This record gives sequence, structure tokens and C-alpha cells, in this order.
Amino acid sequence: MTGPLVEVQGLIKGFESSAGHLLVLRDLTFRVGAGEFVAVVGPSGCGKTTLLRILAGLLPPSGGSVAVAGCDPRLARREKQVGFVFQTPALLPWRTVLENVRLALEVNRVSRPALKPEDLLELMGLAEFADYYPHQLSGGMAQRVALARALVFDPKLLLMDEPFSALDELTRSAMRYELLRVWEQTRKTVVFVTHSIPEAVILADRVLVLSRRPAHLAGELVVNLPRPRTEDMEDSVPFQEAVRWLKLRLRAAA
Amino acid sequence: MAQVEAAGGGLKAPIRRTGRFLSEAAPPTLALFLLAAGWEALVRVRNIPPYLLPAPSAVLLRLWTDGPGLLAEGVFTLMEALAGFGLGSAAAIVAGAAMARWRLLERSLFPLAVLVKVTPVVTVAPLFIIWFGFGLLPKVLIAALITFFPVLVNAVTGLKAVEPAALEFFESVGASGWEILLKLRFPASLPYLFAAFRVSVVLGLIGAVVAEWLGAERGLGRAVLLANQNLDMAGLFAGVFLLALCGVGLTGLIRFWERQLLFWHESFLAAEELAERGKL
Ligand SMILES: Nc1ncnc2c1ncn2[C@@H]1O[C@H](COP(=O)(O)OP(=O)(O)OP(=O)(O)O)[C@@H](O)[C@H]1O
Ligand SMILES: [Mg+2]
Repeated sequence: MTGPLVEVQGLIKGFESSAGHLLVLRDLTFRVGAGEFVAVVGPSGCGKTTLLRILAGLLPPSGGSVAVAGCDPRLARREKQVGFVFQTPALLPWRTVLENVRLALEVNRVSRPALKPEDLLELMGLAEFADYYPHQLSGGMAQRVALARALVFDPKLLLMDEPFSALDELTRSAMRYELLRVWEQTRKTVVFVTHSIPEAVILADRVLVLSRRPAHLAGELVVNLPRPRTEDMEDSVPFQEAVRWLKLRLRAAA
Repeated sequence: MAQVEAAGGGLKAPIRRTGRFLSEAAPPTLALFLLAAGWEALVRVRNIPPYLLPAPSAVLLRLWTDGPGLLAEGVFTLMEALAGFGLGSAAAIVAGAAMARWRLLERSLFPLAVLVKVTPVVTVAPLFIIWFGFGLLPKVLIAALITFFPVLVNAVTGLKAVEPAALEFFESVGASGWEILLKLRFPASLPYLFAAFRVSVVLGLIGAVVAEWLGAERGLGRAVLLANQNLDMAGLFAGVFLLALCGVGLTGLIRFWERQLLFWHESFLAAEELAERGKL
């Protein structure tokens, strides 16, 4: 692990609207090391998606400084250092799985990508489904396609916004370990927003707790579970303790 | 075992589809037949003169004797309608794309388009005859004008009906406005466009017929008008029958094309699923 890949210093974000000024993020400071898996939890509407959009360079901060891979997030995005997985897969229904994964390459006229879309599908266990259309996929498969699509430029940073929240509990649990397997192989830096505390604990090296809006850092927990993570760790004492501690923190922050 | 079953399924599906088609087509065919029989009986029993109402048998006879001639006129009208529909749709899609791209254009012109859409624009047809004469051009232009507004309104609506997350994805990978239009907005608008096409293609046919009434050298509209002036009601009904066939043909063409292009859309997926469960 080298220096931090994401460096957020005194981040402030407000929205101006007809209803007036809305302060969403207040003086947020944290770092994410290269190769680290960080989960973010916080009350609904506190600004988690806003934070990810700022990290992705899709939204300018109102104050403070944000650096991704040492530069402005917008520059990092232009240089394809950032991949984004949304809450819904948002695949194009008129394109096959493979064509959906290729979309970003087409838009950027890349003919020889760092990672071949076919190989990414293989990695996601979707090799046989390359020619399927999104309506022929299950929700979990669609979200795996979205993950493959986000990885196609081999970005350093992967931002995930509640990617499994639309799935049923069993699929959701399977997807966590699927993501961990992919992460073990690629070692991306991940910022993962979730509403589920157990999910945050089983996935992450570190969990950030945001307060209710305007959000600031209300707590931080280093997860002391060995890697690779397995399902039976969910019954272990350190896991249970981490979950309990985060629950208390979140309740106090909400 | 599995293979045998799969092969059986492959054979069964078309048979099931044909069966469904027959069971769907049988009732209206029967109704049509009964209606025609009642009409024939009415004309014969009441001795209604042919210049008021011709018997279906007389219309059929006329279709048999004048068929080839009427068919040639029909092809003419069909061409006018199709050319107008193509021209009007293409212009509407371009204008819709421009409106989706430049907000000011949309804000100033879209309300007007909605207004014109609910106006029977066919009433300006006489003006077109004065401007462009009695040839093919005014017919095509009137059909195009009628087609234009419904397609435009749906194009603008459809081009904006994209999933926000999909739009965000395009932005996050650095797509240009042009690429977003071509690769996201346009395909997403197809279901809306086809809904408009289904209406417009028939409106275009009506436009061509009305334009022919106002002055034409060829076409089914003109044939129907002449028959009417000569109190040749059998000829009139024969023409109307062929026009109905044109309408069915045009709508069928749009439906076919829609099926090819929109296989991924909910409306077709839902129908497919119901068919799978044998409910359709
Ligand atoms: N573009 C925008 N303009 C104005 N206000 C916005 C905008 N985007 C978000 N907000 C506001 O910022 C606040 C935080 O929104 P955000 O989507 O970041 O919350 P969140 O933590 O992701 O919530 P959830 O857990 O429900 O997904 C909300 O009150 C929302 O109304
Ligand atoms: Mg959110």
C-alpha cells in the first residue's frame, strides 16, 4: 500500500435551489489508501450519493479540497481512473451484455482496452451470457454486468452506490462474496456506500459513519477480520462487535 | 430426453401461435360475414336502389371487374402516403432532436407543436393545392404535414424519457452530447416514436386521399370521388374497401418493424410472457 488514493480535506457541499440553500456535507475529512476497501454508512439523505458524485468528478465541491490519485476528480475521471456502479444497473436494454460492457470503450474510441470486455465477463462468471439482453438476466446478474462495465478502463478507484440494495437478501449475500472475490483479484481501491451495517463490516477494511445532514464524520471503525473474508465470519465475535458498535454510532449520529 | 423435449417445444411453438391467430381471427371474420349477409338481405328484401346503397355482392363484383385498375390507383395513393409519412417523420425526428438538445428551442416551439397537433391541419390542404398544383408534390406534403406533429411531440417526449442513472453513466464515461443523443436518447425514444407512427401512418393516408379530392390526376381518393359524383356507389364502396386494406397494410408494416426493433421493450416482453403462460 502506497500513499492515499483519495484525499478529502474539509469538504463542504451545498445546493442552491428555489427553496433556498441546503448544506449537505459539512467539513468532511478522510483518506482512502490505495488498494483499500472503505465502506460508508449514514442516515438516509445525509449526502452519501452526493459524496460519491463529488469523488467521481460529476459534481463540484462548494469548499475544501478533494484529490483522486493526486489530481482533481474531474481530471481523474477524464483519465479513466474512476469506475462507478449505481444503485440500479442502468444497462441499455437494446444492447447485449457484451455490448453494454463495451459501451464506454465505444464512446471513448478505445480499440485496445487494458481489460478485454470478454475477460471481464469471464471474471464475473458471465461468459456464457455475453449475447443475452438485459431483460433475460436476473437482478444479480445485471448488477454484475454493471460492475464489469465499471471496470472496463481498469480504473484505480471504484465507487459503488448501494449496488446491491435492489436485490433480495440471498442474492445480495452471494453478491458480497462475489465482489470480494473480484476485489481480491483486482485490488481496486473501493468506496462502497451501503445502508446495511453487516454488509459494510464483511466487505470493508474500514467503515466511515456519516452523521445526518449536514454530514460530517461521526465515527470510523477499522474492521479486524482476516482476508479473504468468508461467510462463517459473520458468526464470529469480532464481526458481531463491529456491527454492534457501528449500530450505536449510527443511532447517535442520526 | 431433454433434447427430445426441446425439439418438441420448438415444433409446438409455431403451431400454438397459428392456433392463437386462428382463434383470434375467427370471431371477427364470422361477424363480418354475418354483417355482409344481413346487409345483402336488407338490400334485396327492401329493394334499395344501388345509387343509395349497393349490395355487398355488387361491391365484390365491382372489385372483380375493376380490381386491377383500382389497385393501380391504390398503389399511387399508397406511395403518396408513404412518401409523406417518411418525409414528415424524418423531419419530426430531426426537429425533436434539436429541441431535446437546445432547451430554448423546445421552450419556444414545443407548446406550439402541441397546439398544432390537436388542430385538424388537413384543412389547409386547399392552400397546398394553390401553392404546389395538382401533381404528386402537394399530396406528399400534406401527408407529411399531418404526420409531422404527432411524431414531433412523441419524439421530444421520448428523447427526454431516459433513465437518470443511464444518463449519469454516459456522463461519467465522458460521452459527448451527440453520443448521448445517438446511443441513449434516440434508442430510448423508439417506443414513443412507434406509438406516434401507428397513428401517423393512417393520418398520412387520410391526408393523401383528402388532397386527391381537391384535385388530382391519379389515386384512389380521386377514384372514390369520381364514383361518388357518378352515383356509382358500388365503385365507391370498392374504393373504400381498398383504402381500408391500405390502412391495414400500413399499420401492419409499422407493427412488423416495431416488433423487429423493440423486442427489448416492456410492451413486447409483457406480451411474450403472457403468451408463454398461454394467456394470450
Ligand atoms: N442536484 C441536487 N440539487 C439539490 N439538492 C440535491 C441534489 N442532489 C441531492 N440533493 C439533496 O442532498 C441531500 C443528500 O442527497 P444524497 O442523494 O446525497 O443522499 P444519500 O445519503 O445518498 O441518501 P440515500 O441514503 O437515501 O441514498 C438530499 O437532501 C437531497 O435532497
Ligand atoms: Mg444515495
